[in-house]
Amino acid sequence: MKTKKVRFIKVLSTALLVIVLVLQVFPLEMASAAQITLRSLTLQAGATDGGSKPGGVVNHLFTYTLPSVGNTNVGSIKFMYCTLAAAPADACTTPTGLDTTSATLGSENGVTGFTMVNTTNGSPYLTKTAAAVSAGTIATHQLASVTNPTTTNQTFFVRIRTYASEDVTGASTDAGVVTASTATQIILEGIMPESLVFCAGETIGLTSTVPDCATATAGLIYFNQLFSPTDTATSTSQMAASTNAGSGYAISVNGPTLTSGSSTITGMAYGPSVKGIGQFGLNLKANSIAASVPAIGIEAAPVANATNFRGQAATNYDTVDNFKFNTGDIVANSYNGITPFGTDAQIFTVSYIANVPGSQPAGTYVTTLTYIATPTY
Amino acid sequence: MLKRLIGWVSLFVITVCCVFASSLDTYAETLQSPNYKLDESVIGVGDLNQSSSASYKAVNATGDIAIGNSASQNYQVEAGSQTTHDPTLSFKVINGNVDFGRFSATDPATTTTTFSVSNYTSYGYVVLITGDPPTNQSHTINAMAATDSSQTGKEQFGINLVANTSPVSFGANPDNGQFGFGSVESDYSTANRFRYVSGETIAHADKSSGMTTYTISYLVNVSSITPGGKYTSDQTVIITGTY
Repeated sequence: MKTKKVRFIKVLSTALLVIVLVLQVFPLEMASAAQITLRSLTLQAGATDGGSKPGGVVNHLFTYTLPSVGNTNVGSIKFMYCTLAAAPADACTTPTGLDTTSATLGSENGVTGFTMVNTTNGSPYLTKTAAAVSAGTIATHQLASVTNPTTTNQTFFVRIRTYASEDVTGASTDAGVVTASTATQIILEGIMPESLVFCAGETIGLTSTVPDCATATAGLIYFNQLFSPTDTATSTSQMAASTNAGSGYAISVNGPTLTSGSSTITGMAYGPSVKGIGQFGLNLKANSIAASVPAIGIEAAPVANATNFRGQAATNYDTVDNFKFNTGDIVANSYNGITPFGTDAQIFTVSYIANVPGSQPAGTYVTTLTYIATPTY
Repeated sequence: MLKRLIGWVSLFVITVCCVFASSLDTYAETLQSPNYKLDESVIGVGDLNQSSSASYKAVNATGDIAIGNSASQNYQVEAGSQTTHDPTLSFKVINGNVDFGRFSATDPATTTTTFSVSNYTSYGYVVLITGDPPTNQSHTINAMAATDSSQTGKEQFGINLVANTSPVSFGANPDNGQFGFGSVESDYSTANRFRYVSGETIAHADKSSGMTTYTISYLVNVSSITPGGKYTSDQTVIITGTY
């Protein structure tokens, strides 16, 4: 009996030794999930919100490599948003303000064919008919329209888990945690002061080639000759304007026609100069001797271009040898080229003509014209 | 009888040795060559002792004489017994409201903001910046799509992440402290030269990194016809760590 017992112990010990030695050569695999590698979460901008904006509706792009331990079936992938990477008993507190219930599946690569299940806030998952995934597959899945946690500068974690089942039930196959953070938006602010420089006078000079309103002379302007039914009297004035108004400026002329007591010289409808009839008109062009001798007027200087000089004569005041006068009319604007219509300073020369009939009462004819520049910002 | 006893003792010793040898393999796995790697290994008397329940968690450590990260081109060590496999990311924009004041066609406008990043147990991180340049209604100040210097009177919006001396002295180089490994992308790392392309990477760390504080230097130049008004821009800085 004693010999039997000793032999049993001997056999048992030998078996134990053999098992231990075998385990050294062929260790048992652990049953726990394999680690998902090279994993990251990129917070991408949404329709209007920056990717890391607290409470922003943005896109979450997950990139990760499934473990190289074999071809495992993947039927579903869960993205579990938590305030901690891991916690006792796998507890998870969903970050404040996070909302995944409106999320949709955006782009997908590597492992494709999924549809999105977003019914549980904080734990959306992708599902498909389970299929084997090659070892080392790099997968990207974009969850679109996720509402970020609302806390500023908050780090949050997403536990990624793959399942053989199609509804994230059962033990996970592979797992890994990624993290991201909301961040205070950087709000830049600066003021570009609104500007308008405008002046009028008989003449306006230049300083370092730039029109300078400080050089504007007085605005008392005389016609070049006495009014006559056989000749056209002419005169000029100048004005300069610049603005950074995005919608540019408009300059209007305001005032009565030439008047002497109860007598007036008729303001012109748009047309050419005709001697012997009552006409008072103006334009902003370089006119020819067809309108008067000598010819009067200068084109706007510098001439308008599509960059920084946008001022130009307005309709009805922009044709050589044709004139008009109607109080309140826009005579110039900067609506030239593409927006914005801000412009650097230019000088406009306003040409005036006066024709009278033979019956025009004698007297001194005067008018006070006011030019008004209105910028629109 | 003595012979048998010696035999049994020998068998016991062999078995115990095998069992211990088996358990020690776990530690040996992470001590690697040729580039060397220490991962969650303990050198010294201290160790990590975590205790937890649903209501509390305690993390104890003893014996640390230094903590933090050390690295060279080929190796990196997180020193200290309180290390973890879990990824961590800390990101903070320190001052988010940035005011240029008044723009002028004759004076560049400059300002700065700072943010800090630390990222642990990762393959590093990248920092992206997104957002439109300052905009007023339909007008947006031209972003500097090509790296360039400040040019007064020409519309420009650009940034860099280094200390500048022109058009004025402003900005700062990244502060890596003792354990940070962040660096600025080359397009944004030359003093006095600026650039802005929304969505571009502006900084990165190639490895796990302690705290790095970055300073973004902003530059705005306007022209004489830049439309007047208030210009604003929402900039978003995004950190993506790879674990």
